[in-house]
Amino acid sequence: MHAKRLKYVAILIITGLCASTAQAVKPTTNRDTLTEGRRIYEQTCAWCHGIGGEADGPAGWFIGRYSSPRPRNFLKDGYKLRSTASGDLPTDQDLFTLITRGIPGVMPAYRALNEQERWQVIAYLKSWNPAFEEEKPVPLTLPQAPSAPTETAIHNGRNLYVKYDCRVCHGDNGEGDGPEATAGHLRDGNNLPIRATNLTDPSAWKNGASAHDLFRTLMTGLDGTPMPSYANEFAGREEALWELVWYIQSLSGQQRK
Amino acid sequence: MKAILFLALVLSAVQDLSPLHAEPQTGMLVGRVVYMGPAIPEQVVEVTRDSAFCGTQATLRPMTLHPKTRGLEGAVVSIDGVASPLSNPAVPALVLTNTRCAFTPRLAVGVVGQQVEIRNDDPIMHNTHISMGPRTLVNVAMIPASRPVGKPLKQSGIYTVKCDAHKFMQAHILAFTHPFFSLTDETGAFRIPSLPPGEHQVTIWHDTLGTVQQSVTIAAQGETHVTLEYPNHADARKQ
Ligand code: HEC
Ligand code: HEC
Repeated sequence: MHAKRLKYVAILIITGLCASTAQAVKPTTNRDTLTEGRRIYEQTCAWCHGIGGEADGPAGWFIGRYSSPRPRNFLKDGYKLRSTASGDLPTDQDLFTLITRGIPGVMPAYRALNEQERWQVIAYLKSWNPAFEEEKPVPLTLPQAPSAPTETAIHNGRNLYVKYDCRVCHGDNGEGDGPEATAGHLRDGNNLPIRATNLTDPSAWKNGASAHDLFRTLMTGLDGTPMPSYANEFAGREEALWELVWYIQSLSGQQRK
Repeated sequence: MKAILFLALVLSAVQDLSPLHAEPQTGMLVGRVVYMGPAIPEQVVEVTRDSAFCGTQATLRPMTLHPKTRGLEGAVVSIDGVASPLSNPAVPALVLTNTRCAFTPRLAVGVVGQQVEIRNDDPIMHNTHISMGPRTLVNVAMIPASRPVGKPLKQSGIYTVKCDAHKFMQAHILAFTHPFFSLTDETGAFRIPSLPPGEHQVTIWHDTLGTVQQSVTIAAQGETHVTLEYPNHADARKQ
């Protein structure tokens, strides 16, 4: 195993693909990758996502045919949890992170699969959607969080929360009870009613709760939901976006940690 | 070396011939889309957000008919299946503006690869959410005085444009992989030039009335005139 890892590392260095390998090194794809990926998929994921990837697995129906979120349909749907611009596909690394972390409340974390198995299952689910061949997803530049927030920064963040109408969906105090949410107006990509996230309870967040994760969520938006990308608003104004991130963290008392 | 020379000769020969050869005969489809069924009346919906600016009511028009001709405005007529490379990549962007709590235009037609440029002229925030079925093309927050956002159309088909903060705002974008499409004007009229003669399947789309198809035969030269009639909406909606 160790030797194998070293080999991958060597290959990557040789081919100069050193970027975005922070979490795991993606092995090269060969003929067995898809065969293996399929086996793992059918054992592990098909329950919800369906044998053919069309979100029609038995447990997928059980979760609730008419309630959001439906499991992802790998043939047609776009992706929520990405490091890429709104409308773009996720990078391989995004998919790897997602499968490793799972999605709170709806999809298990798959740390039980070893890294190679996770890569194999990713290759398999991507093979259903030709867009992965045609489009080359590029991650947005996401900087590291600057030093700890001040009271003033959080106060500025609150003003941005108001100015950018987060309240319309997430409510005045972030509890997910904004007027458009309570009126039942919000719909997901399958036209099913969807809730606006409660921003005071990070344990339920899908895209992670660190400052860096929140920054990414606001830059990318969550495709297939009403949550828009604010990348255009914050372009060249990273400082302001950190303030908003800190304000959101303050809603659950996180900033004191 | 010899081969290259030969190729060069052939190429120059082709070039010489092309003015005579390359002008294949094409015809133009000219016509009108009409609707004889009962007009669907305007719908007035209550506006519950930003009423100070948007007003307390919004009027939705399921269809716009020309009183004299019964021509249907805002239908898209297209002909698929004609082999034609899209020759003009430098088409200008389709501009889609949030104005007075509505999208202008409500319907845009373009080609795959063409940029959509989203703008907001209103003093309030909108989000512009463009999707095709379950896949998002782009969903961006547009605060007052935002700079425009550009995104190319990725695939052919019908895109829905929404603002999740203002439920009554809706628009559509239709994208094609060829130039054989036309949007009907206020009298229902359209024209599609440069069509090879022969039989073609014409597709007509309207956001309320849906899709209908009909075949037409394009004459070898000049204009072929047709009147395309939408069936009564009660029938059209069933399919
Ligand atoms: C218990 C049901 C369940 C199982 C088992 C499951 N998933 Fe999911 N998965 C879901 C649901 C539900 C969603 C949609 C969540 C949402 O939209 O918020 C989802 C979403 C996804 C997404 C899309 C994430 C995005 O960014 O939009 C991927 C990729 C995915 N699953 C991969 C897998 C893989 C690979 C496996 C097996 C290793 C798996 N899932 C097993 C329920 C499941
Ligand atoms: C038009 C409605 C709307 C607006 C405006 C909006 N959001 Fe959201 N937001 C949503 C919805 C709906 C979700 C839930 C998506 C899901 O569950 O898949 C969400 C999810 C989130 C999440 C959670 C992501 C996760 O990891 O689960 C965060 C954080 C968030 N929004 C912050 C904000 C902030 C900050 C603003 C303002 C700058 C904002 N949102 C504006 C609708 C909106």
